[in-house]
Amino acid sequence: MSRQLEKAEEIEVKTNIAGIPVNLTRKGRREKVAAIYGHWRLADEWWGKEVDRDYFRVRTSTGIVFDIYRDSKSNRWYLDRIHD
Amino acid sequence: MSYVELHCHSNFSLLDGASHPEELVARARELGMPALALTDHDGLYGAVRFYKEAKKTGIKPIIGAELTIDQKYHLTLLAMDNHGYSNLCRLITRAQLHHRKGEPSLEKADLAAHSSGLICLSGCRKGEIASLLSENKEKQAEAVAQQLREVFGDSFFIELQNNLCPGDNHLCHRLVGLARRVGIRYIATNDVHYAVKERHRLHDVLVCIKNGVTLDKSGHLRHPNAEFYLKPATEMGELFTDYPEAITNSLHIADQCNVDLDFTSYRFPDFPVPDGETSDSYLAKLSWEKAKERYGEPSQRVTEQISYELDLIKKLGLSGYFLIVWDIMDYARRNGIPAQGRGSAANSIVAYILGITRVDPVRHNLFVGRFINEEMSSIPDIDIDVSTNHREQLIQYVYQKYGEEHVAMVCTYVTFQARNAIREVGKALGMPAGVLDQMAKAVGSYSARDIDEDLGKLEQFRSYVTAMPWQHFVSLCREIADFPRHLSIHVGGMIISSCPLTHIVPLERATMPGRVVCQWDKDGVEDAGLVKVDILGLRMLSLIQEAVELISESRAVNIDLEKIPLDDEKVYDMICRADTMGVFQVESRAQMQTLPRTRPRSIEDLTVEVAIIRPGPLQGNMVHPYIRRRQAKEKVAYPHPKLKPILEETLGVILFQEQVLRCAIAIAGFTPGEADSLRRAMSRKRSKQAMEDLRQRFVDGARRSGTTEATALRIFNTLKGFAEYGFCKSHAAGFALLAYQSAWLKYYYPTEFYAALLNNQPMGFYTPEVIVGDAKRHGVEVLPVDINHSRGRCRVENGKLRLGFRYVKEMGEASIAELEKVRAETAFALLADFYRRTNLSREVIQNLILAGAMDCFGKPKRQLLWELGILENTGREGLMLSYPDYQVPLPGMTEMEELSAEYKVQGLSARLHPMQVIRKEISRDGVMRSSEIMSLFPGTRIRTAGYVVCRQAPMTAKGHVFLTLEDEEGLTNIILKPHVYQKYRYLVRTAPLMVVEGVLQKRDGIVNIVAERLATLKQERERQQALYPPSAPEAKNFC
Repeated sequence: MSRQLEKAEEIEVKTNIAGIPVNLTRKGRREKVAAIYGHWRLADEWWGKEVDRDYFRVRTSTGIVFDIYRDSKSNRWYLDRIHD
Repeated sequence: MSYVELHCHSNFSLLDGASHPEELVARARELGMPALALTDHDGLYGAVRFYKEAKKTGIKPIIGAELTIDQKYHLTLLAMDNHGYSNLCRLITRAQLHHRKGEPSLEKADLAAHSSGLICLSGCRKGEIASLLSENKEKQAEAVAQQLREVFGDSFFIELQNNLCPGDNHLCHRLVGLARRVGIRYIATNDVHYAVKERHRLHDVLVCIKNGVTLDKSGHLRHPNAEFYLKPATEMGELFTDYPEAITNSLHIADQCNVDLDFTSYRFPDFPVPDGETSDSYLAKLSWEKAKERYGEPSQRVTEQISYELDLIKKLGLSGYFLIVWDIMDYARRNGIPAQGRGSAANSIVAYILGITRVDPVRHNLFVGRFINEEMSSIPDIDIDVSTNHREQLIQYVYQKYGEEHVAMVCTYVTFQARNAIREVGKALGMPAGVLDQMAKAVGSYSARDIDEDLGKLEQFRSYVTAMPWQHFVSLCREIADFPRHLSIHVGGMIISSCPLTHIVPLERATMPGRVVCQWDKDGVEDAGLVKVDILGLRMLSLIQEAVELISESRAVNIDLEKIPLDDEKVYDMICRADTMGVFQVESRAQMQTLPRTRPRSIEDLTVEVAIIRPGPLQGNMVHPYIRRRQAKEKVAYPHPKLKPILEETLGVILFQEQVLRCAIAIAGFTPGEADSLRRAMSRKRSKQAMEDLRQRFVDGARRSGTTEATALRIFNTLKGFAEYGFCKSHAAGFALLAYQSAWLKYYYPTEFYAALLNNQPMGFYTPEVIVGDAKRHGVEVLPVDINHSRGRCRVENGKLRLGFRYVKEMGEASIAELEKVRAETAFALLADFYRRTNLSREVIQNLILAGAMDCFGKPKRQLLWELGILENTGREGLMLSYPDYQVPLPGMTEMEELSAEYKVQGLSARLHPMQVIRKEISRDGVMRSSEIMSLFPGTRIRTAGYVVCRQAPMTAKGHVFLTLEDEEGLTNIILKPHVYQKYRYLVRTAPLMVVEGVLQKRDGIVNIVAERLATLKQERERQQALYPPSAPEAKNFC
């Protein structure tokens, strides 16, 4: 089961040199990225409200699997979906 | 690290690829790719262009395709060698011809028969294996992999793609697992749909165009991101870090693929020659035989020319080609099909004596080097003009002679240009349809690249230009410019090959039922080294033949146009008067304006006339010097004494391409081949460097033969100036002959000529209504359509021209045939009789009544329409009772009503000219008839009115606009200066009838009115009514 957040939640993410997340900080709690299950990119609606995001499906040290993304324009990270 | 992209779509994956093949090659080069594959959907449309460009750029071209399998799956095939390439062509042809047009698909089972020489990749996400894995059907996926390995052996690879779409990592992981289990190698591709990332926008738009949706509503159809571009090896390496051999395998595959797309050796079939003969010997034998027929005992010059050409033809290996074309023309001759060779082929005496062309090159002093020469690298074109009515017959003959497998029509690509780009790109962006319609109609430029500049200037679109989507819109239009949109059939190109065509090029269905086209256009065919024969429909040939038949029918006179004198003074007098409506090539407004000045008096003069009055020479300023010299107002001068014999016929003006060649030979000592490359270089946009080299060679050559550098340069520049617009003299001479023949028919047999002209519409400059007016002015009595006398086509009836049923709207061939069949029993006596005996619809009968075809019943049209209504109620099965005379008093139609009804149902009136009817309403304020104007002095201010026959705003006229008005007595030419046009722009563009006030201009017998004021006829009528009110009743004198 997975749950998409009503509004993506901004989080802090630290990446390695290749841009791959190594840990994320959510609600003040830092979690280490233990595994990356997927990486995909969304680029759409360039004619209007342009969307350009790099998504990662990660499992953190707590065992929870998240879909997080980096917004290319603002370079900010958001939590989009939680897999239970 | 290195990588070769093996799955790449160009814009020949129609509406699914967003880069030209050349752009892909250029990008691959930037990325340092040693090779690149082209794998368009179910076709090799772009293969030749891609191949040529890649070779030029130094990248190895790999030819492949992405095939649709079992109507839903994709599979990538790459040709390893020419055998594999042929198999690819066969598979694509099978996929195309065994399914409905536009829905190609191959059965998986068909692959086995043609798998050798091919490398097979398992395909994109839509590949069968990937699809099955996505559905968690591992076992089935494995089974398919096994099957394909059985078919392709070690040449089968599992294809991995990671375009950063959701699920890609996972799918790659499963595909690799499967490959390892089954023992198949795998390879990475990027499913490329555009050369650079930025083009993903255009790709999105193309997907929308293809599916007829807007961007907003196409989320599920478009790619989710912009990752389908040609990626450098490093990026691909990062995407496939877990599977490095997927990258290195791409190089191994590329190494194995070596295809050569040069099919010169298959270019045409061996022509069947009698035993003991070769193509060369048979052509020579035929030529000498025919030379005797043409010339009796050929002169030394003729003999030398034939020998020279036969040697050259043999040397170039073209004897078979000449025989093929000769055979087609011979078939036409034996079957009475009017046909003639066109273009530069008419420079050849062999073509002439074989009956391929109709102009004697010796008599006309033509130059064969323009057609063939020793150094030529490509095959010369022999194009055939054939009567439009017989074109299909000739095409069928070629199919029968060489077999359906060896013959196909060449395709042509309908491309995106300004108008369709505006409509389709705009629609995808969700712009309002009404605005797009206005823009498409308003745009003046042809290319979609210039839309910004073109529309941006117009006031009415200003608000859009500043709005946001505009920049997207214009840049997308610029990018989509020249993209192929769909395939169409070329007007006449056919390829005939020695091996079955499906070994060389895939075939597919054309829109015409039963017709097959090859996937290459004329450039592709030429670049692949194949021969194309153009069989083009020319309506003038149909017209001439029909006129001759009508003459034979109506006057029992048999005309042989080959034997008519070519120096008939009366015919030239008519041409010099510019009385040329309907005459081939010299009927346009511009021609009519020059004929009284140039006064052609021979076929040679007509040849010049045909060649000179065209936009090119007008733009190149060649026309005026020629006209002035022709009128002896300017001295004839030559750039160099050596050029006098070459330029004498055109009074020192360089007009013909043959002259450019001869000048280069005379001045710079060029060989015919060098001279022809000079002409080609000058007539096209070539590199500056190439032109510079030629200039140097020209100057050096000229110096060696004693011409100074300054003079040589001057001549070079003159040649350059004219080469761009030059016309092939042999082509002009062929057309001049048709111009003369049609003029001769018009002069001596006007009734038959106009009947044939009306029967072969649309052709030429004028509409049928204007032709009918011209016929009447030439004393031809034009009779309306009549149900008891007309046939489908117009014909001659007791010396008068009877209009045919084809002119009546809704009267199709079936209706005409039925009517004629029933009429053969007995003529129609009453409307009821007609109604019951024929099965024509109410609409058709109504149109016949309104066209006057039932005036023979002696009843007014309204009465007949009323009766038709009653008959419709009774029904056709109703008893043939003499129904009571419902003589309802119906008002008769006014002349105006009759006229507009006739125009509505047949586009013209046999009886009335609009001006005849309107004349009385505008006759009170000095509005003159066209015939009255002729006798006035120049400078007279006059007013005239008429129906607008043509509006022209030639680029060369610097803002001037020309109108031709017609009234019941003739034509009047109107010139609008730019400021006048700007003032009356809307009226000029829209009003069908107008009144013009201006000053009369006469020069060399040509009459024009330089307009100052314009008004619509309605405005004039109202003005006159106000000026001259109906006289007030006289006051009663009570005194």
